[in-house]
Amino acid sequence: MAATRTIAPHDKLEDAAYAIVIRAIDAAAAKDGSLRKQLEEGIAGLGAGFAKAPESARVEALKRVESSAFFQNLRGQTLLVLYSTPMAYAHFGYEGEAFSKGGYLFRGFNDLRWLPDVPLADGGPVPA
Amino acid sequence: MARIEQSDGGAVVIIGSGAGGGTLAHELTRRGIKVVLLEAGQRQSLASFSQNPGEAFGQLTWLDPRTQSGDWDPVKSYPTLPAWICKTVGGTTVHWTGATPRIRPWEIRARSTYGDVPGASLIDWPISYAELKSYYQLAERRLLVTRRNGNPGMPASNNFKVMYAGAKKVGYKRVHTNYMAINTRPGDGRGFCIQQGFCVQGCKTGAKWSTLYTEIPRAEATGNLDLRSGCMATRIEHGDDGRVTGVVYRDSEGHEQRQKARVVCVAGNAIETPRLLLLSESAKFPHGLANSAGQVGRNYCHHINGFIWGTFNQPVRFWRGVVLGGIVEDETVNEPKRGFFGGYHLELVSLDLPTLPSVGLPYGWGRDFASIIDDYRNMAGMFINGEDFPQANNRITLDPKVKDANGLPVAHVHVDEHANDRAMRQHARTQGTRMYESIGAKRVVLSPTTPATHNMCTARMSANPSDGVANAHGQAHEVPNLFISDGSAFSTPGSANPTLTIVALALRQADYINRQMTARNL
Ligand SMILES: Cc1cc2nc3c(=O)[nH]c(=O)nc-3n(C[C@H](O)[C@H](O)[C@H](O)COP(=O)(O)OP(=O)(O)OC[C@H]3O[C@@H](n4cnc5c(N)ncnc54)[C@H](O)[C@@H]3O)c2cc1C
Ligand code: SF4
Repeated sequence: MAATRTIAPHDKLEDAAYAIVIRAIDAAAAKDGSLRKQLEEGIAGLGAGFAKAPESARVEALKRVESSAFFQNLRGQTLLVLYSTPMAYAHFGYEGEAFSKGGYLFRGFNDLRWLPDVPLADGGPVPA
Repeated sequence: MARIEQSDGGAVVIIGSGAGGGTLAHELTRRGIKVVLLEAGQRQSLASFSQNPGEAFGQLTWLDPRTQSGDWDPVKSYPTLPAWICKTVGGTTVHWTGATPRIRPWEIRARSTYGDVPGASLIDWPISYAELKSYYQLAERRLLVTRRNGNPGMPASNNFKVMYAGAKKVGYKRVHTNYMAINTRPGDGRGFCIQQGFCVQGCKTGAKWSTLYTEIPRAEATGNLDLRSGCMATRIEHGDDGRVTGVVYRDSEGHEQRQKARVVCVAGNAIETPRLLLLSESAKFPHGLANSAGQVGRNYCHHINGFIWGTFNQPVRFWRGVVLGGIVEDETVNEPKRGFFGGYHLELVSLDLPTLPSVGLPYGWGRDFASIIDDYRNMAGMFINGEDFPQANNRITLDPKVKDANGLPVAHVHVDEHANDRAMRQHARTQGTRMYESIGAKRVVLSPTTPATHNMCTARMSANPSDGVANAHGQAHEVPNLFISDGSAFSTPGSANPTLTIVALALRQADYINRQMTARNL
């Protein structure tokens, strides 16, 4: 948890989202022995005090292993899973798949008002 | 759909069902020619496209291993993924975002226009622009490209409004919602765009042109197409006279099969196409099929690319709306006083939340990185698409160590950037940054080069057989009944997204093959 929060620190994003990341990593490790070994060794390498250390110290510890397969894997999995969670969608305002709702054609694809509208010649008509 | 016997030596065998192969299959079958279409991937449909970005990537992408080397960014940021290509019926036209600008007249005369640039292996295309243009017009009618032939333009999205305002502020004039092979109203059996922004996941309305639901079903309806999905071509065979005679492939159960052929057309996208030719080495062609000049796999081009993200103080919600619906064409000129030859487009782009952190910002983690994602709502985006320079040593080879599931050597991609490539990218980044800053961007973030989505020139057409692999019709210089039918055949990359040109060349090649078959030259 401390490592994933250091990689993608969004203070106001709830723990539940990060918990999903950890569950996904655990599930992958349970299926793949070499991955489990890599994770266990990698986490041990961060030191016993890592989880409780202040953020600057955690960043330093992760920087030291930044090029390792362990870190690359951890970072890749964290980003992939975290930003796919419903909590992240809600937190960042992402509305996701819209096919089931008829797309954004009538739901704000062109609702930006703080800049001028584009002349029709350079854009095109909105289908009725 | 037809069933063609494996022993039937009268059929044309096409390898790959994407932009090139799918189009060619339709063009030949509608003229009454029997075609076996081998496609390594599985078949999806509008209904089966996943709307979960991670799942869609797994459903459609070519994930067989490839290796790479050189000084370009993907070696570091995506070591196992030099290129982003599909492995599915319809090929990468299932993923693509539909932008269809044309290559410019001066770009197809690259060697004449740019001169003898040290380190670059530039040549001129062996085709006149007048001829290419007539096939562009046909292709644009076929794909129902917006802003051409009286078709209306894409309506402007939020993301485009930002691009447009910035472009106008810095003085650009040719800025519009791009030429798109995406319907704004129903047409040709395709639906219309509902601006949902999942073009890369597979367009569930079918508004976006893809061979999967246009050319391929039409070819099937002729009764002349035998499409075999899950079938990976592993070798092209030839006779004593050096003409090809058939294709060896693995079927979906992994069993080796052999299809006889009158003509073989390779359209596996510009990494797999040269790989297959190299895998087809023999006593007669010890360095690979059609490779006596040593040109197969060389001159690999992939376009100068990279994302430019701007964050603002107010919402943009750039995920709403068609992904690539915007273009700045003002820098698509050859003005060496900018410090480089050739030109580039700036095109609109957005990425969904799950994809942005890993594809759009690939080195990131930590506070600074997180603060960019915190502004996801207020983000606008564009993408650089520029002409890169072919170099003889930027090439596809067979990896000496790594093998695929069939035990065959995988493709190894080597790319060192040319100084011209770097200078162009720097210019594009500066201009994109100016555009966003001119309208009050809080911050502009640049991405490194991403895995190549455009792959070209690895079996190029050349007037002189020692400079390339194929003649002006994509017909191998050395093997008259072997054709290159995808972006591999480009003589140079130009600055345009490649698919419209791939389709135009496939339409042209179909005319040629048909004429040659009728005349019994094939
Ligand atoms: C995300 C993304 C966005 C894009 N957006 C645009 C855009 O806006 N505009 C544009 O012009 N282009 C775009 N492109 C590029 C465009 O998709 C490609 O240029 C085009 O599809 C290439 O056509 P092709 O026929 O060469 O190969 P593909 O369409 O890639 O088809 C090749 C097919 O061959 C199959 N194959 C390969 N080897 C074998 C074998 N040995 N045996 C059997 N089958 C084999 C593959 O599985 C694949 O299905 C985009 C690409 C990506 C990834
Ligand atoms: S935005 Fe338009 S083209 Fe893209 S997936 Fe949606 S309907 Fe298809």
